[in-house]
Amino acid sequence: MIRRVGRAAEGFAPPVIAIAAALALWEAVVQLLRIPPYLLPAPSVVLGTLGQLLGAGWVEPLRVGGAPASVLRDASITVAEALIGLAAGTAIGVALGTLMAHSRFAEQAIYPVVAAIRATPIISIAPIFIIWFGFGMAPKAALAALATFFPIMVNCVTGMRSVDPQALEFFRSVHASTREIFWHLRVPNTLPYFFAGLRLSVSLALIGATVGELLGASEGLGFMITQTAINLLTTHVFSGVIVLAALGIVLTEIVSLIQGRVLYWHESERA
Amino acid sequence: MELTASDAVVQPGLVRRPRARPGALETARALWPSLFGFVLFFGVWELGVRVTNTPPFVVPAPSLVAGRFWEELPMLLGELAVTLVGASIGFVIGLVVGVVGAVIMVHSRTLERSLFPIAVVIKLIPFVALAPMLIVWLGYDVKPKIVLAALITFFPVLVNCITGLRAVDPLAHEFFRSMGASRWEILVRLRWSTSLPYLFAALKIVVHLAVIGAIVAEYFGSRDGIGLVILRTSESLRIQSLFATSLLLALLGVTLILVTNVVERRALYWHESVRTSGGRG
Repeated sequence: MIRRVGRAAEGFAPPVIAIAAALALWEAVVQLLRIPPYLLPAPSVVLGTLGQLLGAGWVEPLRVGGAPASVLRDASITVAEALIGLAAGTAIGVALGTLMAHSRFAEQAIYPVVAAIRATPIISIAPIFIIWFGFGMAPKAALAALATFFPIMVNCVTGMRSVDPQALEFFRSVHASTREIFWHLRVPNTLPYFFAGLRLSVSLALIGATVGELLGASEGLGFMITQTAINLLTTHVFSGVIVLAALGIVLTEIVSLIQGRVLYWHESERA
Repeated sequence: MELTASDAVVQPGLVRRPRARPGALETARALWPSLFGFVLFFGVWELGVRVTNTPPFVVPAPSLVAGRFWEELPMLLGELAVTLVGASIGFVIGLVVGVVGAVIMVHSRTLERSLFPIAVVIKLIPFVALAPMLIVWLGYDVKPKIVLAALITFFPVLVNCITGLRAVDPLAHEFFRSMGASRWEILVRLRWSTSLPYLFAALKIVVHLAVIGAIVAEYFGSRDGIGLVILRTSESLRIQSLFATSLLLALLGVTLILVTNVVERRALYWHESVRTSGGRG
């Protein structure tokens, strides 16, 4: 038992020490050089602000100027946009992926168009969506969908194509219909690939929504970050970025959790 | 925080299909579905706009976008050149730091275990959201672009390079050691070549992202570049110009991916992922 704790500590010690050292260096540099907090706040100051923002609970935002009192409301808006977009992106990705897996022709016709759309940076599409859909949640959800459908589509195609040939042969030999092969062989085989794509997509959805908010919004984390940045409330900018990063980790972990529940029968989860 | 294979951005050589070197007729036959896809996409778009009489300031027809694209192309190319200079400098810095960092971490367990977590923390930061701060710190010139492009490039290169440098064939490694090869010789003659496919897998993603990083930095504060063009055209609601700019960036993105593929094929002519695709891919 003690040995196990010791071994765990041995594994954890270097990263913890390294990150603590980096933070201490940052703190020391800021304190010693007396860097003003609007340029670069010390980690302790950022933590204080972050604590305040989180501790304030749910506060309706001030419409004009000033430092934001809370971050929870903005964060929930960004998450909602990201999740709506992720749902739409997943639906589109799965639909296109299934179609492409079924026919080589569809694959060859769809893939280049989609790859060209994918190659267009979100930052040049975002203004178009904002002009179309206004300053509300719709353009951010659309951007999140745009950012997420591609990895899911590609992974769906790969998953549906990569069924075990022997299993396929077996299904055929017992006269399984195409539909039965689809639901009982291809879909289960695709799930691990699908979840891999979904895990990638969750953080992409958050970034897509945030980019939309950076460019034109009246609420959300991206809005909070730009507003505080132009007012040189740098500690708030850092707090917003930390919350955004934390949300990315939490949402990815949630997907992993769901993956574990759904794929309990798959070797990647059993190992 | 142990480094696992799943941290690698893309496993190299996964989505290749063997293909023989085709003749002209076969090339045409292979290309026509893609052509059909593009024609269908733009045809439906053009027809939809015409049939519903959508005004061009809401959704411009592809023909209008093409006209605007041609008109603005000289200006756009000039601005794009500015963006690409910043993006390439940042890309090269991110690449060099990533590769050097990977070589160091592969050779020292202690350094890896202390530096890699910091790299993971860096990776978790959504840099796009820090763009406004980069402008405050570094000013309105080329520096924020370089830094953002470098930060975006760094992590995928580092992770894939570490994975690749580690992925040496144990037998080959044993052989090198039995011949008394030094660490440097093993690095240059063995590890480097196994890491190249992984490195290229990262580059394919990162080349494009570095340019996007530079554009984002320009959007938030710059005197020139494509990012500024996007800002100005969106502020004045010139949606046709926005589409024209997007078209140029889409073409650029596709070109970058194709160029990386060609360079990869040249550099990795000996690797099975390239050989099994018959020199094409």
